[in-house]
Parts: sequence; C-alpha cells; structure tokens
Amino acid sequence: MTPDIAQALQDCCDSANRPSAVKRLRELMERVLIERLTILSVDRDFIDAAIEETFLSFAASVDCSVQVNWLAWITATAMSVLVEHTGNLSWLDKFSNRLAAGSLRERRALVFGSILALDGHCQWALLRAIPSVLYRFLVGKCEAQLNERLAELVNHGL
Amino acid sequence: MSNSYKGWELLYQMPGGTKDPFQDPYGPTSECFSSNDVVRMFELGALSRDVSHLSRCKECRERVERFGEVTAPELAQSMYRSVPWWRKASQGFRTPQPAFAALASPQTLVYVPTTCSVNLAQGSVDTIRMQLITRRVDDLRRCTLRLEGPVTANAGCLVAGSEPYPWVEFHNVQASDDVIRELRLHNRITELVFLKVGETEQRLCLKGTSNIEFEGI
Repeated sequence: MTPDIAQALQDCCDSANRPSAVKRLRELMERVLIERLTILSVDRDFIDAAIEETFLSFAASVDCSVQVNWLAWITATAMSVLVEHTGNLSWLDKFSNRLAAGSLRERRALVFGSILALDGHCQWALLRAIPSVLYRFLVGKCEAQLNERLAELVNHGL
Repeated sequence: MSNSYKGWELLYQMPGGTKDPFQDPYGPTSECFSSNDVVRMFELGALSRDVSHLSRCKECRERVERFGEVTAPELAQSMYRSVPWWRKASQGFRTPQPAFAALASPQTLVYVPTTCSVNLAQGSVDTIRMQLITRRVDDLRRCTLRLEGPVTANAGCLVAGSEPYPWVEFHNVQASDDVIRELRLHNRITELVFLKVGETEQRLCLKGTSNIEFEGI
C-alpha cells in the first residue's frame, strides 16, 4: 500500500472529512482498480459501474471496522459487482453458496477475497476463467486451493 | 460492528489475508506485473526490465494489450470528474455517456530505450526511437504520429522490424525552450512526453505517455 492510499484510508475513518477522503481514495485507486477489473471485462461501462457501486458501499460501511483489509475489501467487492453485471454467476455461486453469513453480494465478494489471497498463478487462472460461461476451467490446483481457502472461512464460523 | 463484516476480518487474519491486491504480482511467474506496475508503465513508460519480461510472458503481454484497449485515463478523467460521483451513481447502472465514449481513445505502452541528445545551439533533438506495445499496428500505418510536451515532432514513421511490436522513429524533433534552459543547468533531465496518433488533432485513435531522458550536446 502506498503512503498516500494509507493516509486516504485513515482519513476515511474521520466522519468529518469522509466525503472528500473517499473521493480522494477513489482517485488514487481508480486506475489500479480498472487494471484489475480489466482481467474480468473489457466493457468500460461495466467497469465504471462496478467501481461506482463499490465506492458507494465503501462510504456506507467504513464505520463497521478498521480491522478489515480495506484494499482487499474494495477490490473483491468491485470484482463481485462486475461479475454480477456481466451475468456469469453460476461458477461464483457454486462457491458463495457454501458460505452461510452475510448478504449474497458479500458472500460473492468473499470468494474474490479468497482468490486475492491465492498465489499469482492461481489468481491469474481463476480470473481468466471468470468471463467464460464454462465452469470447466476451474479445475485442478486452483479449484483445490480455492476450496481449501473457503473451507477455512467456513470453519472459522462465518 | 456489523456481523456481516466478520468474514472479512477472518480473511484478514488468515495467511495471505494481508496481501495488497494492487502491489502483489499475479500471473504464472513471480516476475509478472502487479496492477501498480501496469498503471505505472502506462503513465511513465516501460523500462528495459519491463520489456524484457513482456518478451517472455504471454500472459502479461495480453494483459497490457487489454488494458490499453479499455482505458483512456486523461480524457476519461476530465469528463468523469465533471459529474459528482454520488450524482452519477444515482443515475443508475448503464447510463449512456456519449461524450465520454466519443472522447475515449485506447492507449499504447511506450518504451524509449535510449537517452536523446539535444543540440543546445539549434534546439533540435536527435532521432527519437520508441517501441509501442499495442495491437493497433494498422492505426499506426494509417494515421499521423505526433509528439507533444517538452519536445514536438509531427511526422513519426513506422520502422519495420522483426519484433512482435512496432518501432517508431521521429525525425526533425524540436526541443522546447524550457528543455534547453534546463539542459544548460544540468547534464541530463527526464521529462514526460505525450504521443498522439490520429487522423486529426481532435480525433485520436491511440495515445501514450513516457518519460524520456535528454542530454545536452
């Protein structure tokens, strides 16, 4: 995390400065978010909408906890929203349905949170599989690691 | 704290949960680019080590090409910022944005391998040679290539080569007064140069930016 993003995240916790701090954070992160979301879609409207919705929910939820890895939260939520808009949800819900708590979007975002913690090779293979309607790409090492990670979440009593 | 965020806290506590999703490389090799790397390259130009990795990694090449196709940061941002984000969001998903779409143009990644010599007496610059990492070779053949910023040139030409991405050369390059003044004070300076490819000045089909190092002679 760069110092300016860390400072913007810190400022977001201050309710007096939150609107301007969230706007600043968005400016700092937008290009890298676009870059990451480009792996899932080249439709600029989809990407813009996903970033928009993510920052709206970020602004609303920033009070909930300062312990959360907000960078991972924002990225995973944006990925979840993007996939909702693109409509290829069957593969995602196969994993998100295993999680009990939280809203459907939060559960979907948690799957992406799991992906973000996998190694680069697995991330790449999984993210490349997402735009495809076919689930068959999610096989082998990547699926096994994602299952293992989700099992950890479930076992921790989510 | 809301119970719905309990899962995120758990994720944070697990091994790997503290990863920075923008800073960690992802791809088949440990040398693959992070998101920050890709954005940095498009803003400041590619370095030798970046191009070296791109020559070996098909996945990173595809990623760079796709990012170039989807985004147009400078023009897009100026339009984007003109509408407050909360108002834009309230307009709902898939709101048509004709002005945004019309102004958006793809980007190319630019690699300038060598320092460029500036003749301080005449203000002219030796040939500037750059590699453009883009899928849009046809646009390069069809359109006019220009350099703007600290140096200006109006007629770049495509150079045939055996590499996967095209090389472009600019002759008759003119340095700005600021560049000449700075080079009289310093041996070398680095400045951000803008590449514009288009049928007209208003209608760009490709653009790029890169730092270029200049030395005075």
